[in-house]
This record gives sequence, C-alpha cells and structure tokens, in this order.
Amino acid sequence: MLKTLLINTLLKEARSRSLLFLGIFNIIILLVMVTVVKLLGENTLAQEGLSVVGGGVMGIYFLVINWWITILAYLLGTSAIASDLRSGIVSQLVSFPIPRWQYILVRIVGVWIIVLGFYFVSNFLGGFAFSVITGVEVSFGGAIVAFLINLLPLLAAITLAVFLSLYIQRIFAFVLCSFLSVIVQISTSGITKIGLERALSEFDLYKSIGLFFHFLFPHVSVWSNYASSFIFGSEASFNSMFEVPHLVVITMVWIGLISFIFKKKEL
Amino acid sequence: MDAILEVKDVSKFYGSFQALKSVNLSLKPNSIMALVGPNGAGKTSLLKSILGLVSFSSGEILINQIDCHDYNSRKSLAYLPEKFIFYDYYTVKGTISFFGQMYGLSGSELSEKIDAISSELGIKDLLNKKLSTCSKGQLQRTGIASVLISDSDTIFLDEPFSGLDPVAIKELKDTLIKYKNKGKTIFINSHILGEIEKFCDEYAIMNHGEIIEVGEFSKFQDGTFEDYFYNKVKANA
Repeated sequence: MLKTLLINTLLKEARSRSLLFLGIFNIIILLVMVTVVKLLGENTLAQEGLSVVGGGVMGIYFLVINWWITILAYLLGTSAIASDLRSGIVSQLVSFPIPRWQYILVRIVGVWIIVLGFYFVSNFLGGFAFSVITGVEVSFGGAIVAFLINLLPLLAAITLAVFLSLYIQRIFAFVLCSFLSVIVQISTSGITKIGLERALSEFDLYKSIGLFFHFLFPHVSVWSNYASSFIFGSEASFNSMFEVPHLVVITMVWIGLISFIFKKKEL
Repeated sequence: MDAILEVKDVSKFYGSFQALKSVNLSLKPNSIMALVGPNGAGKTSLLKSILGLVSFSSGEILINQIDCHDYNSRKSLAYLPEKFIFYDYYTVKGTISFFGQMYGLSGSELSEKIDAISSELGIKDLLNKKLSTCSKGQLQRTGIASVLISDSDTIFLDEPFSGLDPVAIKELKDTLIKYKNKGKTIFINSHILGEIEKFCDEYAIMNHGEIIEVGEFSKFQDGTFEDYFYNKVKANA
C-alpha cells in the first residue's frame, strides 16, 4: 500500500514543471560551459591550462547545483500535499485504510527521493558528460561530499515547505521558505558570533527573536554553505556538535507537527 | 446481526452553524440504504464524518464496531466522492489498478479483477484512455470501478448517478444489486429519488442536520416515495 502511494508520489512529482525547468536550465549551463572550454582549448590554452579552467568551471557548476537544489526542495515541497488539497484528491487518498501520518510521510519521502535523484543526476551525469565532451578530467570528490552533507538538510527543507503550504498559497509558501532560510542564517551567524551562552544570558528582544529562529527552524543555508565549502576546498565555520543533533531533532519535530495538524484537518 | 455502521448522537458545528444535530443511524449488513435530503441538509457532512474526513463535536460513529477515527475502520469500506477526481495523467486502467493496489490486490488477481469490473461497467474499451481525455460520465464510471475493485464489505457512494447517461445509470443499478447479492452493504447519498426507490432497501430522510425518518422502500408503490419525501421535508421546513 505504501509502495503504491510512494510510486504515485514519484510519478506526480516527476511531472513537476519546476523540475523540468531546472533540468533544461542545467543542460543550458552545461552546454555553455562545454562551448567555452572547447573554444578556449581550440584557440588559447594548452591542455594543462585547460584542465585548470575546466576544473574551475565544473566547480562553479557543482556550486550552482548545490545552491538551487534547496530551491527545488522548497518548490516541490510546497506542492507535495497542497496540490492534493487543491484538487480534492486528498479526501480520496485519506479514505484508504492508512493513517494520515503515513500519507504525509510518503509524500515527503517521495519528494525527497525526486530531489536527491535530480541532485545526483545533475552533478554526476552532468560532470561525466562535461568530461567526455571536453576531455577535461573532472574531480567528483567535493561534489560527492557536498551531496552526502545535503541529504538530511534537503529533507528538512521539504518538511518546512510542506508545513507552510498547509496554510498559505504555494507561491507565498515558497517565498516564505526562502525568506526564512535567510533569517535563520542571519540568526545562526549572529548567535555563533556572540556565543550561545552569552545569547542566552543577556536576553533582549532581538536575541530572543534570533534564538527563536535559531532553535526552531532547520539551518538549511548553514548546511548548504558547509557543503559548498567542500566543492572548492575552502574553509567554513560549522559546529557539527550542535548542527547534527539539531537538524535530526528539528526535522523529526516538524514532521511530527505536520502529521498532528494534518490529522486534525477537515477535508 | 450487528450493524455495519452505527452513528450515535453525532453533532457537528461549522462555527456557530450546526450541520448535524444528534444524528442516529444504523446500517444493516447486506442491504442498500439511501440517504436523501434537500441541498444543505447535512448529507455530505454526515458522510464525511463517517469516513473520518471531518471531525464532529459530539457523539460516536462505529464501523464494524471500530471507531471511525481509527484508520482500521476503513479496511472494510470504500468511498466514491460526488465528483471523482484523480491525477489526469493516469489511464483508466492505471487508476483502477492504483485503487486495487491500495486495497492490497496485486499480480494476476488484480488484472483479473480489472478485467471483470471494466466489463461489468462497460469501460473495457476505455482502459488505455488517459483520464484527461475522459468525459464526465467516463470519469464517474472509472471512479465506480475503482471503488468496486476494493472488494470492501461496505461501499459509500456520494451521488453516484451524477453525470451518467440513462444507459449507464441502468447498468450501475444492476451492478449495485449484483454486489448486494454478493453480500455487500451499500450506502448511497443521492438526490435522484426516482432511481434509488427502484433498487434500495432502506431510506433515511435528512433535513436541517437531522434524520427525520428511517424506513423501508418496500412500503411504497412505484413512484410514490418522491411525493412522500416532498411532504415530509415540507412539513419539517
């Protein structure tokens, strides 16, 4: 039963226009990169220089994918359940003998699989195609680490988007997700700067707002930046002792909250 | 024999508006009951309460002795909403198959049942047609096939004749009688009194959120229920 619903989710999300648009955009970027590198190779650079430029260009490509994969997670997350609610199909689906939380979970996991699939294909198939066409050797090490680091944050991003889409229209939910992502990043970097202990002891309005966003929302941008740092081998401040348990707990809390709210929802 | 469905003193409010007023109803196994009433009588609210789609303020609903809020209560029932909507990129066969799989069917059993039900409802030629290209009547018949494939003991149909032509209405009535003879219990929410009178066993008249009468169709001669219903509702206005 859950497998059938999961396949249904994958079929539904794979038809998403956002996915198609980003897929086409990826191909365009790859084509531009290939053309630039080929032109440089034919006219100016020797093979050694070409490898450096090719590696750098590919790094930027991985970085761009790493950045907008979160955007895709928000876009698909906002439609995962909202589209069923809008069409009225949801009342048909929840009248099957499954608990509502399972329906929610399957929809979230389905979107997660699609987002990860897109991420994987964009990174690795794109990189492989680039390498074959240009002859430039591509290093996938950083991209693989970034992919692994982003696994759970993407689930958290989808969960947040699903939650917001239960209350507001899809486009506004998407905008709010992006806005929240920035707010959380600002709060987190502010708290990191002054230290959590000081933030908690010297309590004022701004700090309490900062702490609210810091503790109750997933730090998707923080994780994304950390993942990006592996692509170019740069330094990024990342408190794994706090971020890992926070992400796990907050993702579970948000999924639990959505399930609770959806259980009470009149359909 | 225990009732398949027991609605006990169920009340429901939408804000200050009371949609259901201490509704009591029970459904005997192996029978066809029609819930009838004018628009806004509370029929859909009652059906949605039974299916656990909406919460109610007080009372209790048991399906096969299981509380309707427990998802296990839905193991023995299938539901067709008033307007059957499904993802339009699915084919008719894919849709019926999805519903079958959601009720645990698979492999050759699923294929055989799709074959049998599509023949019964006259949609065999439509199996490979996408829902986006189906007419309203074809969609409705796909919905009915999707519900009947579940092999559930109790079938809830909300306005099942809506959008069907006279031939399809006749075929659906025959199919429902056949399913009743197979031991199924059917609960129909319908406006079309002339049709339900001919094949349903029991009726429940609903008005202003209350069940004002429950009875058997056998006491009416052909065509007289419509007048009876009209007078009852007018008297209760």
